[in-house]
Amino acid sequence: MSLWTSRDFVGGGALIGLGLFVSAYSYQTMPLGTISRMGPGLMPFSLGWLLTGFGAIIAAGSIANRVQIEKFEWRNFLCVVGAIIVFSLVARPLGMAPAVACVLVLASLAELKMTKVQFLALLVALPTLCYLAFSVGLGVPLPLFKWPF
Amino acid sequence: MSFADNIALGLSVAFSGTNLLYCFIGVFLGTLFGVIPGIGALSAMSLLFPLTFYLEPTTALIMLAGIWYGTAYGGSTAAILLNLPGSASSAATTFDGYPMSRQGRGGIALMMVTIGSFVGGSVGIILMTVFSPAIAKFALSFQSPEYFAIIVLGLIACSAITEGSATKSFSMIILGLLIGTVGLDMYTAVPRFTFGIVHLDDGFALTALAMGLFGVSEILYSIGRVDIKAVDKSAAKWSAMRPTREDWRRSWGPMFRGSWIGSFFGAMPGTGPSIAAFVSYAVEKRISRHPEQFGKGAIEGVVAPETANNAADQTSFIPTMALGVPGSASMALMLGVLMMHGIMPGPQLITEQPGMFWGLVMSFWIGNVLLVILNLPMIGLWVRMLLVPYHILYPIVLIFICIGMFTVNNNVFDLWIVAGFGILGYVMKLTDFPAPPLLVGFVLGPLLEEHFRRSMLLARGNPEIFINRPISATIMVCSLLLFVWSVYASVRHSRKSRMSQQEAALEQG
Repeated sequence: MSLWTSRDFVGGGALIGLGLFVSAYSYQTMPLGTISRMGPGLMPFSLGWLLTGFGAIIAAGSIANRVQIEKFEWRNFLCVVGAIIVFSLVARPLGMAPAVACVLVLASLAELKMTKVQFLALLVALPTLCYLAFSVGLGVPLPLFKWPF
Repeated sequence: MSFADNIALGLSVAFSGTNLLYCFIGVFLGTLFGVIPGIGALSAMSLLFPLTFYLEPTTALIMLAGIWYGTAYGGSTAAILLNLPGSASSAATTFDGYPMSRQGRGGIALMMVTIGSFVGGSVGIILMTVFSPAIAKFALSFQSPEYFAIIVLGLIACSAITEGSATKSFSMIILGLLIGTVGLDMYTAVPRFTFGIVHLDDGFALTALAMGLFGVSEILYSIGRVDIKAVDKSAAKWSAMRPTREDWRRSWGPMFRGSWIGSFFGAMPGTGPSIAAFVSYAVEKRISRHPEQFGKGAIEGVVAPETANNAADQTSFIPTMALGVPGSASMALMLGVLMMHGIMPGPQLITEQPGMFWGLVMSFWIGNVLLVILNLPMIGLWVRMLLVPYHILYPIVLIFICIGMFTVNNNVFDLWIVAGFGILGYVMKLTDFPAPPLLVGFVLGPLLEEHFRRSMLLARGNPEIFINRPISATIMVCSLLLFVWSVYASVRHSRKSRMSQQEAALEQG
């Protein structure tokens, strides 16, 4: 098996990169101070090095003991993350019901197992429930529908 | 005030109408979210956190606490009937709980687990009642070096006592500490890792982090993987729940030991119910006269972890309330409620807010009794919840995450953070990095830095301050021993696993 698809090599490598970036960035943008009068940069600077060290240990361990990395499911990723982003863009201008509907549609695209009846039932029930629980119950300033034009 | 006065005060607070109602709501929702796989205590508490803006602080604490220990009761139901841990702390219960239900003994498992949970919870509450005030009194003399030492011990304990690789847990603690530094520096107001984004000046919201790391990433990982299998509905009938005399005889020991193991790990910052459950499972397996039955439906393996995680749920309030040091992310949410209402957590809390502290403790009794009622006569309701297929469940959960997060600060930026941490959590799952240590690091990081910087100011940069003071020195030595032990254990473990791999290769070759 190739080292490049080994789980711990990828993970450890990512930590090394992140650690080095953090140390460099905190060295450049924050005063480190002295040990008796620590500046804001000292803790992130040292933690960055620690992270690099641990990343190196983890990556080194993967050379002898290789485990295949699990597959990144792009479809799940696009649907779920997309649903959250769309909700964040739709909720304020259009109101709660359209935003909830968008999440429902996008999220269910990840796994097309829902029947039409189930889908329609959720489409009606969820916005109603959310409206009652959050807008009426908690007084969250998010109307059911809003017409932006 | 005498001990009896405190108890009386607590009872009067806990039995007030509003508090009773919210205690019930808390344990009800806790059981519900505990039953549903994919939403643990933390996501449930983060989801309902916005609700607490509208409540009295005591009521808010009682409700959130109810969710916290309620999920442990609910989590075992899914673990036993479905082989899916409803919450992380029930993962150890699946080992023997599911085999038991395959053998038609699921009802008995549910019964014994509920009894064990109640026993564990009770021991935890009694310990909390006795020890919290004493510890708080003792801690009044603590200064920054002592607090720093306690936090270090918590961080090391969190990563040393883990099921997976200790190196990976340590690295996630450090990542958590780093994520905790994001925002304006508390002394100099220099921005750290904000990249010019004003929303990040106050750092990441704990709720956003928790919902992303645990809620969203769990959904990303579970879609297409979780298939609801057939559930043995007859397990929920009264007649199927009667344990035999043999079951009782074998359960007393695990309940007794589980209570103490759970109480210990609950009270130690950084460790909590999940670790308590795994440790007590391992202990039972080791001391059992028939270890070969474990994993095949041994009742000890079901009772021990569930007793332990409930005991730990209760005692985790000890460092939180008595010291103001949250041992886990859920406890940090509790302290968040206090701070939102302008109450400073710390050792003075119990004497300054006796009504709140004792009311909370007494509400635990009410909550645990309610949970026994919810989980035995009403078990059928939760079994029906288990039958809802995942492809219907996850869009609903996602919608609640979106709206819940939106309502915390009424801004959309938090949602992007949720999405971001969801991706991070997903990648961490794929590369087998544990998420709980990251969250513990995030929670304790700012406290750690504050107390370290203050100690260094106090000692003019001389690190000997941590070993010159007896209390902090003792705690530091404990941390060091724990660290050395965990390095030794992980080296031995990896050598053992490599040897067994080679043996397997030899046999095949």
